[in-house]
Order: sequence, then C-alpha cells, then structure tokens
Amino acid sequence: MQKAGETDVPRSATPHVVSARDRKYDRQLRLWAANGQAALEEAHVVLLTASAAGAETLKNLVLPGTGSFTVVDDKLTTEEDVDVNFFLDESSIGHPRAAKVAEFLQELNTDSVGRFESLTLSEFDKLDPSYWEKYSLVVAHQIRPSVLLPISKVLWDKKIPLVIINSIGFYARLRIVTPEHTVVESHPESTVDLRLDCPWPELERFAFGIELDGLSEMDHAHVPYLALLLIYLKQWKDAHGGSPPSTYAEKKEFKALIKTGVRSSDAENFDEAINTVWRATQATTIPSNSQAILNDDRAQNLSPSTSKFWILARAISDFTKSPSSGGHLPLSGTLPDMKADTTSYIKLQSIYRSKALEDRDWVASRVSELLLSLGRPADAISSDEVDTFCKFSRNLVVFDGRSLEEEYTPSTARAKKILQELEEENSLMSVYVGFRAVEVFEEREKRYPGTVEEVDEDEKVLKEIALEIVGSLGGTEVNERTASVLKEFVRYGGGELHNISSLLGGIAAQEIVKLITRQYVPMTNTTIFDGIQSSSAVWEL
Amino acid sequence: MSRDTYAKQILGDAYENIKNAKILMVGAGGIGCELLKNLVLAGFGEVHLVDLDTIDLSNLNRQFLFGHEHIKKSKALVAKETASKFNPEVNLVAYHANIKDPQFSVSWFKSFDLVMNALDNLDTRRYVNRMCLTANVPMIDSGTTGYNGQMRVVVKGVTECYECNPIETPKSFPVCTIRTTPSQPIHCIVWAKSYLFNQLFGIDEDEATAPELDNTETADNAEELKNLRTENEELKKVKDAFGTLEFPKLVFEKVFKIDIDRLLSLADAWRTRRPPVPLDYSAVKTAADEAGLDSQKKVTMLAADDQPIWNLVENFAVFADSISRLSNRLVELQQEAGSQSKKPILVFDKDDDDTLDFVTAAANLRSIVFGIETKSKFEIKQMSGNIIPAIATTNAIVAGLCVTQAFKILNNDLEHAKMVYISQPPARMLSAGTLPPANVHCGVCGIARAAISVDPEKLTLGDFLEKVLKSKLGYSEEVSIVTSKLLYDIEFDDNLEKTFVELGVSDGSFITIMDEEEPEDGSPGRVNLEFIVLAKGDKNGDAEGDAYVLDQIPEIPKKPKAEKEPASEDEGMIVASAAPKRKADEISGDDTNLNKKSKTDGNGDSATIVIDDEDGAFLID
Repeated sequence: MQKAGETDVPRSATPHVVSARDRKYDRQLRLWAANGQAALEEAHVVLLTASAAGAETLKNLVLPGTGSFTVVDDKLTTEEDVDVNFFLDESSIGHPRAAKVAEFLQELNTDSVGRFESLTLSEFDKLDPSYWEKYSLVVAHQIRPSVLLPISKVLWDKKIPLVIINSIGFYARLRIVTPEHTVVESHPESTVDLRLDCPWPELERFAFGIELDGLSEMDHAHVPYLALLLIYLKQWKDAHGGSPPSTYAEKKEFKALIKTGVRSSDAENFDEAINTVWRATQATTIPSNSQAILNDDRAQNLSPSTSKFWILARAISDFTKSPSSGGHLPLSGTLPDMKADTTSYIKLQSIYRSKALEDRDWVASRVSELLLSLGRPADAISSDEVDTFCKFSRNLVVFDGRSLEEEYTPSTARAKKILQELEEENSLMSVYVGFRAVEVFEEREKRYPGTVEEVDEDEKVLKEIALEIVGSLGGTEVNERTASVLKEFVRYGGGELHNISSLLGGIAAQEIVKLITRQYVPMTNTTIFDGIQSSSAVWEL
Repeated sequence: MSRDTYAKQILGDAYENIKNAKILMVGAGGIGCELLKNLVLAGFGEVHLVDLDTIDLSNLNRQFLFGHEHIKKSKALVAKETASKFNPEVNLVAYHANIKDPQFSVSWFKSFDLVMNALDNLDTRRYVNRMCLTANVPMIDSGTTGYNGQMRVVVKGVTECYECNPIETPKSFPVCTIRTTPSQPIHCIVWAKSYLFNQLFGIDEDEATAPELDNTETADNAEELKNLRTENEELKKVKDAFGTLEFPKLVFEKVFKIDIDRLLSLADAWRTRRPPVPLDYSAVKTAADEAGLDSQKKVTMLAADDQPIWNLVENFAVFADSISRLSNRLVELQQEAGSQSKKPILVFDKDDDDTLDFVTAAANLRSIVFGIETKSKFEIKQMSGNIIPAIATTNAIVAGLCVTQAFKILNNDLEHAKMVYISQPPARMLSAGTLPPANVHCGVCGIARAAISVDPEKLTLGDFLEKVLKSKLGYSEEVSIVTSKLLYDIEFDDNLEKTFVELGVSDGSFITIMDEEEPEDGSPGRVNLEFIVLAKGDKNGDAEGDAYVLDQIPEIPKKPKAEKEPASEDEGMIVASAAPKRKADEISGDDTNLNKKSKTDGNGDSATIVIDDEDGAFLID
C-alpha cells in the first residue's frame, strides 16, 4: 500500500550540494526556494531616509541575504534617533546617519553588500534619471510629496517598484507603487487538476482496464480512487443518458452507487473516492482571472519588448484554442495523496505526467515560435520557466498598479472610496487622511505638527489642511473621528515609536520580498496600521 | 530633546508604567530577538529572559542578535549581551535554563508585571500558561509560521486562557502502525527517528515518552506488542557489537530482514495488505559496491546533495555510513564521560547531518520494504524535524503587536487588549479581535490553583489526603486525586501508604483534586483544584513538622451550573452562554474568521506531525 504525497515543497531543478549558505537560509528556502533566493541575492534595494522604520525594513531584507543595499540620508545622528533606531548607538551621535545605519546593518549579514550616500532632499531633483537604474527597488520613508512625486514618476517609467513607508507615533502607512506586477508562482493551496469529467484516452484506458469484480480482496482495496471514480462515473453516465450527476440529490445517489462496490472494511480507497465526489463531478474550466490574463492585450498584441510573462501567457492562450487542448489549460500533472499499490500509483502518475509533458511541449514550441517572430532567440525563455508557467497557469496573478500621481491628483483619486470609508465607524481612512495632511503641513512649515510649544495652533492648521484634502475629493467636513486622529498626530510630533516602526518594517519587507522574488500575492496597494486598535486596512488607492 | 522625548510624548502617562515594569520573556529565538529589541528600545525597566536553547546556523536568517561567532552559545546570554548595548538603562537578566526548572517558582513568576511568551512548542506554552494562571500574572502569547502568525493576551478569569479551547495536539500514530503496518512515508520516518534511532543511540525506553507513538495496550494489539518486545530484546543483543565494523551489517539484517520475516509470519496482517519484502544484505552490498559506492568519500558526496531521491543501494550506502559515523561519535562521547553515572546519548537533530542521514536512509529502506514511496533528504528533513518556514518579517510584525498589547496591560487598559492574526493579502494583513472571555468550563483556567511545597520522600498520599485535603481544605474522602494517572479515589486506596516520590510526583508536577461529593441540596460541588508541587529545599515544615508547607489556603469556588437549554423555564430569556459571540464591529471591519487555523499548503504527509520551530507557532494539522 502506498500513500503518495503531492510534493509541493519548493525546490530547484538543478542538483546542488547543501552549503553553509543553504543551511543558514534553510527556513526561508522552504518558503521561496532557490529561485526566489537567487532573485533576492541579485536585488539592490535603496532606502531613502535612515529612519527607524527604514532601518527595520532593510534589516528584514539584509538578514535573508538581499544582494546589496544602499542607505541615502543627509542628516547627522541625534539622541532621539538613537532612542528609536536599533541600528544606531550612543557612539553614532554627531555622525552621518546613512553611514552609521549602513554599518550596523552590514554587521547582520556579510552576504549582503551595504553602501551609503549623502544626498539632501533638494539634490534628488537634480539627479539624472539614470541614477535610479542600478536599483531594483526603492524604499522611501517620509519624503515630502514635492520631492517624492517626481522620483515616483521616474521610477514608474523605468518600472522600478517604489515602496513608500510612513511611521508616526502609533500610526503606520505602506504604499506600493509599480505599474505592473506579474506572479507565476502564486503558491496556491493546491495545483491538483484531475480532469475526471473529461479524461483523455490514456487515462480512460487505465481506469476501464480494471475489472473490479475479478480482483482479489487485496487488489480491490488498492485500486486508486481516481480509477474508482472514473469507473463509477461511466456507469452513472451510461445509465443517465451520458450526463454526469449534477444536482445535490444526484451526487448523493452517486455516492451511494460507489458505496455498493465496497467489499472489505479496509476500503480506504472507496472512502477517498466518496469524499472526492463533489470535486470530481465539477466541470474543468479555465478560471476567470486566468482567462482575463490570456485575453489581455499585452498577451494578444506582442511587441519585441514584451516581457516573458506575456509571451508565455500568449502561448497558453494559443494552447487553449488548439484542438489538442480540448479548450483546457495545460495539465499541472500533480497527483494528490491516495491509497494505492506502488505499481498502479506509478502508472497513474506517469499518465498524468506524460499528459502534462505533452501539453508543456506544445506550449514550449509555441513559445519558441513567438520568440522568433519577435526577433528574439528561440531559447530566451527556458524550459524551466515554461514548466512553471504551465504548472501554475490556473493561478496566474497580474496587478496593474496606480501611480502616486493618480492617487494625489483629485480628478483621478479614488475619491468615492475614500469618502465612503471615512463614514465608517473607526475607519482607518481617517489615519490615511491624517498622513496626507501631515505631509502637506510638513511641506509648508518645514517641520512636523506638534513640534512647537503651542500645539493648539498646529492642530487647527492640520485640520484646515485635512479639510482641503477632503474637500478636493468632494467631501464637506472633517468628521469627529478624523479630528481625533489629527489630534493624535499633533501629539506625536512626527516622532517614531520603535515597536510600530519595527512592525511596519516587517510588513514592508514582507511585501518587498514578494515583489522581488515574484512569488506569493502581494498587497495592493495601500496598508494603514493603527497601533491603538491593533488593526489594519488594505485599499487600492 | 533628551533621549526619551518622543516616547514620553507619544506614550503619555503609560511611559512611567513602562519604565517601572518588570517583564519576563520566555524564549529568545525568532520572536524573542525582535521582542527583546522592542522592549529595550521602548525603555521597559527590567526584562528577564529565559531560554534553554543554543544558537544554530539556521537561526541567523532572522535571529539578528546572534552572529556566526555565537553558534553553539546560549541564546539567552548572547541576546542579553547584544541588546543591552542599545539601552544601558534597561536592566536585563538572562537565564540559560529551562523555564520548568524549580528556580522559576510560582512566587518568582508573581514578581513580574507581565509574562511574554516567545516559545516554540506547545508543551512549554501550556506550562507557562498554567504558571501564569497560578501566579495570576497576565501573559501575552505569540507564534509565527512562514508568512502567518498570531498574538493574544491572556488574563486569568478575564480572557480565554491558552487552553480554554481544545488545542490540536500533534498527531500521534498507533505503535502498531509504526512498527508493523506502515503505509505512508511519515510512518517510516517516525519509525526511523523515534524508534530505531533512539534504540541504537539514545535512551532505550523511549517509546513510552515519544509523543508520536501511542502505545496503549488493548486486547487487539497485545500479541503485536509482545512481538515488539521480542524485537527490542534482539536489538539490545545487536547493540553488543556496537562500534565494531560488523555493527551496520547486524543492524541492517536485524531490522530489514529478521524483523520483516517475523512480521510476514503474522499471516492475518497481510490478508488485505501488501506484504513487506525483506532485504538481503549481501545482495544489496554487492550492488552498492558495483555502483561504486564503496568509499566513505563517495558516500559523503552522495549524502551532501539533499535534492534527489536515493535508490535502494544509495540508501543502503548512506545507512551503513551514517551508522558508523554515529557509532564513532557515541564511542568518543562515552570515553570522554568515563565512569560518570549518566551515560551519554545522541539526540536526533534535523540540522545534524549524521542524524539526518541516518533517519533519511533508514526511513527510505523501510519504505522500500513496505512498497511505500521514498523521499528526498530535503523532504525528510522537513517531515522529521518539524520544520516550519521562518523569516524575520513575520516575527517583526508579531513582536511589534505584542508590545502594543504590553502597553495596554501595563496601563490597565484591558478592555482594548486584542488578539491579532497575521494573514495574507489581498484581503487584509492583520485581523484584530477582542479577547473572548474565559471559558468557565475550562479545565485549566476555570479551576482553583495553589502551590504546595512538599518533601516528596516523606509525604505520603494518605497524609496529603488527611492533613491537607481534609483538615485544611475541608474535602471529604470523596475526592479523586489525579496526576497523569489516578492516584486515589473512594474505591481505590491502594496508594495511601506510598510517598510522593514513589508515585512519581516530584518538583514541578501538577496534582488535580476533583471534588466527587454530591451535596444533598443538589448544589454543584467545588471546581477542581490543581496543585503545583514544589520540592522543599529547607526542612521547616508546618507546626507539626509535617512534610509540606501550604502557604495560602486557596479559595475553591463552586462549579458553574451546567448550561441549560434556554427552552422551557426561561422562555424569552437568553441564557448567557460560555462564549458569547463577538460583536461584529469589534472585529475590525472585516469578516475574517479569527479562529481559523493555519492551512497546510497541500503538503499532505509532511504537515501531519509538525509542531514548530524556533519561532513558535500554532499547529498544522
């Protein structure tokens, strides 16, 4: 008897010897595998502003081995920096923050190469756009919009992701700005695709070649449940004019039919078959989100600069339209756990694998054709990449980002959403408005609200700014909840609280790892965290 | 501005409480490093940290208070050393010790304002939960696994305790499945790790304690268990050849030939199962030699690649080689130990290649014998080592949340304390919910607790019953006294003459007293009373010179009434249930299911007995 597991453990295709580095990274390799780790090791992340939240974000990227990092800042370390930033100490006071933070972070991991640069806010403007090309991702902490918006435009055009973080008192904000993010390895719960409703000839031959009645008791208890389902499904269809069980009552009846075949008490395989009836009788279709990706213009109208993702999507689209696919996506080839004897399990496995390979080969040759037609080498997309794409073709993810400009321009802002959310009790949208208001305040006053003796005036001004923002979106008032949030902001005086910055650094780095490795589904596009309520919200703004 | 200007400004009045707070942090691993950094920078006055563990290379991708130079050193001591540099004003006290050690008594727990758990296993969590309940100290528990995590506050009598809801225990397998009728790779891995490895290199009678083995004897399996004992006896004889060149061969023949032949003789077992196929040592050995796997160097190279699935001869070669490596190590240890009474043993460690090679090869050979799928070393590492993916980011998030809750507890703002789950976008990142009230029927926090100091060699169960339970606490003889087994009830008084030591009750044991008397007026009896037993250091007993000291007479409330069906007599009235539904608006704006368990990622087998790694986690079932 055999229980074969669906192996979804991420692993590299090429054999390798376990090195000290693999050992150090063992616990994360189990999340994103060698290809994710390689992407991380090739990445160069730059942090603008050596704040606590920024340093914590980098810490969480340096520890898992991000290839290089650069800290950009123009300030000298003060006592209050030391108080809140773990990567500065008493001896750093009076020295450049960028250098000191880079130095402390470097100590965490020698696999990661750290640098620093001293650039003032006004100098960012004068940078040549090509300056940013060496970075794979930019993290910006609390940079005023007049400086950040132009940077975000440059990065947007260059398709370099920008991750904006803000941490003031108990409040934190995270915004991901990137025009397009595609994910193949989205790590769905399962990639099992059984096709019991539409078996191909080899699978049918295997199942219908089994004569249940003629089997010994032992063999009978080892018929894989997939075969049992196919056999009984055929019986059912023959008796019902060719249609499968579709209603609840019919499915119940179908279960009863399978039960009639049980011979011994040790009929685990029959139990498995009965438990899978619901899934087995579902029609195999192309999930709507995958279909939308296949139909997307970027797949249908390829150009020489089209990314691999869309070329692969186009090949899959062509596959689903080809007669050999029967209108389906490529088979994943993954088999679930089941009770079976080794021989029939391996036989079944090879039937699923050969079919998956056959589909894969079709897609691979189509990919080569497409590449050639675009004037690119036929092998520009590796066979591993085709493999992975086929395997996850049911679970592809594409995010089309919104630019910071769109968010900050009233005519393109998600005004309705924001105003609606503000009406909700205890809405975290009030915190979002608060961050926006604080940004404007800082831009005008060149200081944070609450950093003077007389804070009442600051609170008044901040409220006026908030009203401007809400007003620009079509709102008419700053409600009570927002007013109390603004009051909190004034109380915080623009200062960071270490544990909130640390938490934000965790959330930000987590999303950055997803962006860099192109694995798992990242957040879109704004998160607000409120440390008073310990709650968070995610919106696309 | 001075150093703590922002902290004062942001935290307001709470800041003073934080500065004066005394915190106990249990565990200095993944979450522990983050937590300690946060506590130090937030300016908590005094932090004690306890961790038994030492630093391993695989910790360094997230446990940032440690560097390469600290490998094999104490986590607690190194964490203290590194963190204290960043705020010399915080008083840090580190213990490289087990939190269950007697030095960490109930009164010691009582000296803290708050206990923060950054633990990696269920057993210790339960223990700390009980200690906090006994000492009446609030606790914050946290855990992470991969990208997911959770955090919650536990306050005695107010919130759910760690055990108010049944916790899924790690899956255990009937001993016969493991020893006689394996059907999945995991069965063979458990066999290799929990049985064979321990028999050869560890403690002999481990089956009794290995949590993965359930060896309850029933009428059905008596025969099998008898057979297994024969097997054990034979294996002990094989062990006489320990350290000799013959040893790997003898072990191989014993477990893959002789034992299998014996199993085959149990014809009944193979009526509906594929019978196992024994392996022939000389045939496999010849094949291995022919395959060129004849030198240790070649085998080492083979074993170094953990990705491919080894075939029969490869498994054979690694099996023989790893046995030699392990035997040599044990022999060396024994020579070093000399005539010390405690015999050195080897312990399985997923990060120790010698032990992992052995378990991989032995498990796969057994799989081959039983016609079960074999696995790669990489996969077996995960399945045998209870490995949970662990990264810095999730730990940072959880630790940050823990500190926000600590602020609330120290500010006596329990009303706003939360439990928070970290989940995956796109839905949301954190789901916060109010803390469910204590379950009045909980067998852990819904009971009375007390500590008793005893001289376990002197105090008999009879004295305990008469002098403590009856005269001091007012019980009748209608009680049950229970540890992991029944010690006494009204119909079972065999143990009354025995001392605590003889009954296996020692320092740190828990004894539960159940009131079995049914008052004539039909009123409910008293709730259970759980004693934690402390072995007395000094001998000044009670006035009578008794072998016990009971500091405080505990209050033992009546049992809550059994819940009634809100049908007949209370028509129209809603009887308060033990766990009222959370108000929708208290769960921050989303319909996330707060009690959801982490999901497996379709790994089938591998997730079954996972407990957790350095970062503490919930169970995956």
